[in-house]
Amino acid sequence: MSYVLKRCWQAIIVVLGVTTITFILLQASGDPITVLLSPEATKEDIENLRKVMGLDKPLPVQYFKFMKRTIRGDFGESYMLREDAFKLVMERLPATIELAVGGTVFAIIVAIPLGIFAAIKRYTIYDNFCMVLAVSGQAIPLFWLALMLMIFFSIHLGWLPVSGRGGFSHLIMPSVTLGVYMAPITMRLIRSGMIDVFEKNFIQTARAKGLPESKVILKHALKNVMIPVSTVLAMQFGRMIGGAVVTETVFAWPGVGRLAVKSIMDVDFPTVQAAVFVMAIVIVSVNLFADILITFIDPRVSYD
Amino acid sequence: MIETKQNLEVETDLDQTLIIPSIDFFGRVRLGIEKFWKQRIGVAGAIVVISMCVMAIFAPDIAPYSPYEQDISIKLLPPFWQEGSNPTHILGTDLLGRDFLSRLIYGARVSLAAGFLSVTFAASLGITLGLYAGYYGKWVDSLISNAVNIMLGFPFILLALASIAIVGPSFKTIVIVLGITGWPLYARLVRSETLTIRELEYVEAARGIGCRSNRIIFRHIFPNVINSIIVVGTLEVARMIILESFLSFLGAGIQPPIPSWGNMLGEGRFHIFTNSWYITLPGIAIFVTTLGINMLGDGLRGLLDPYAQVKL
Repeated sequence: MSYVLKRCWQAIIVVLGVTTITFILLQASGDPITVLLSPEATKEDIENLRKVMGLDKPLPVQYFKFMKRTIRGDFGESYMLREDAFKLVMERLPATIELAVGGTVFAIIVAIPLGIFAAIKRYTIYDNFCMVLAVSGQAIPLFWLALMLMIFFSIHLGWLPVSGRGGFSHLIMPSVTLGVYMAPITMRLIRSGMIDVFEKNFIQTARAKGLPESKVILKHALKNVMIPVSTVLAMQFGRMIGGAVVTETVFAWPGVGRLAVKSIMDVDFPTVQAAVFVMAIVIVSVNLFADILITFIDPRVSYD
Repeated sequence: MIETKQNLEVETDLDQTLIIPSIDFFGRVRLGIEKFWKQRIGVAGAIVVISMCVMAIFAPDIAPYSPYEQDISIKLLPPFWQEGSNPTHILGTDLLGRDFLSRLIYGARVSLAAGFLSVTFAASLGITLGLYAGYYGKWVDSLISNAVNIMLGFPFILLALASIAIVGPSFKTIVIVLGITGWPLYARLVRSETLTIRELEYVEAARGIGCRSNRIIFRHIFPNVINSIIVVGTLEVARMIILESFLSFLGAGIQPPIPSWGNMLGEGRFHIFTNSWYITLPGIAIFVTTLGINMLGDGLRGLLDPYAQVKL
């Protein structure tokens, strides 16, 4: 139990740290007043706005106030859209989750069969072929893959919509892009996990009982591999969010990632802060959840 | 007679087996290269990477035109496989009539330099912090480990993008920003290896004869973590190249007119409907390079990391 508490404490530190870094970065990036007011604004206007926004206070005071509001989820109004920044981010969260689920599903659909296949045919030409696929998937620049998919499926063939969010057809290309990003590591994990499990006694017992090979692989081997695989994948969730940022930007997918990129470009401080905060919370809680879950599922894992 | 000869042979065999452990540095390098040569994927990757480097270094000699020479009258010429192409510009011309092939060749300079330099920067930072965290433990460790966790809880790309938005895009800033965002990976890896190594007897012995901490860390522990760093560092070069090109693609990276594969893609984005080759070609250049680096990294992993299969 103390382990769980320790991990929770660490997670809180991470979220606070991320928020602080964002605050420092934004402080360093210049005066928001210049963005908010037109160049013709008088000195008086600037001073007034400064007072209203609390920017005339010393930095530690500003930081303390900022953290106090952050904890309540109050980031202020977006400079660009004139709406509550936190609400803006939360509105876009479902789109990002949809994309993340789509990407994971695609990655799993590709990775499980290929991983099992490579493990069964290990050290053969088929295995090598799967490894080449994995290395290519790792090497391909995500945003370029997205553009190539667009050129081929939307412009040449006209099968899928170029960008935006809508029905299922809109989800296909972004999911494939994000899936290609996550599939190689999943496949490698499944392959090496399967190779390990094949050596275990209970697999030999299952075979000796006369079970058909398909049952041995799917019921006995795969089940045991999926536990560590899903934990590692949960640990990789931060990477996946990074991939989602790229995918959303290229496909104009209205998610948190695209909003964050756009607000950084627009110097829209409250929105950047809210978006980074929400992303950090999501990443940290997924990691934490996986970490705690594994200690309960698998009694062999203990952290002391 | 024959028997003695056989005996002699056995003896020489024995001699050879005895010699191997005391083999000199160049002998070990030769053995390593021989072992590496057997891994075809790694060798193929090395060839690709070396040729890209050669292309980048000798760009002025290889490129048929200057990458900055504009001629609006021949702008957006298609490459040779499309109708209306011009044989003097094999891969066509860009938006301002500059030779596309020459710009691609020069683009290798920016991408490779950004990749290698940022990894060198990130690795030296990460290795040093990782060694200190693992060796000293206690508050040093908890400080550095927490910093690592915080950095990893941050979407990498946003951090890079935000930092560049502050300092303004230039080659130097990109290398520094990518370096600063990339260090936690090395720190985490080196820390966990240092934790094991510091308990070994020879470290104990070094401490026993009165070595100072810095000497133990950099003379005795550091050489033993290099192998895994080389593998990770190689793979990271590819990731940094992709990240640099994405930043340039968004307009927050290398600024025109300097040619980089990323900003060429960014320009091509607006011609996606009419001239799809504009996007295809720079992307292929990036992909070939990163694929070569990844293949090289995989080959090195097999060579340097005896636990490759277990650790993935």
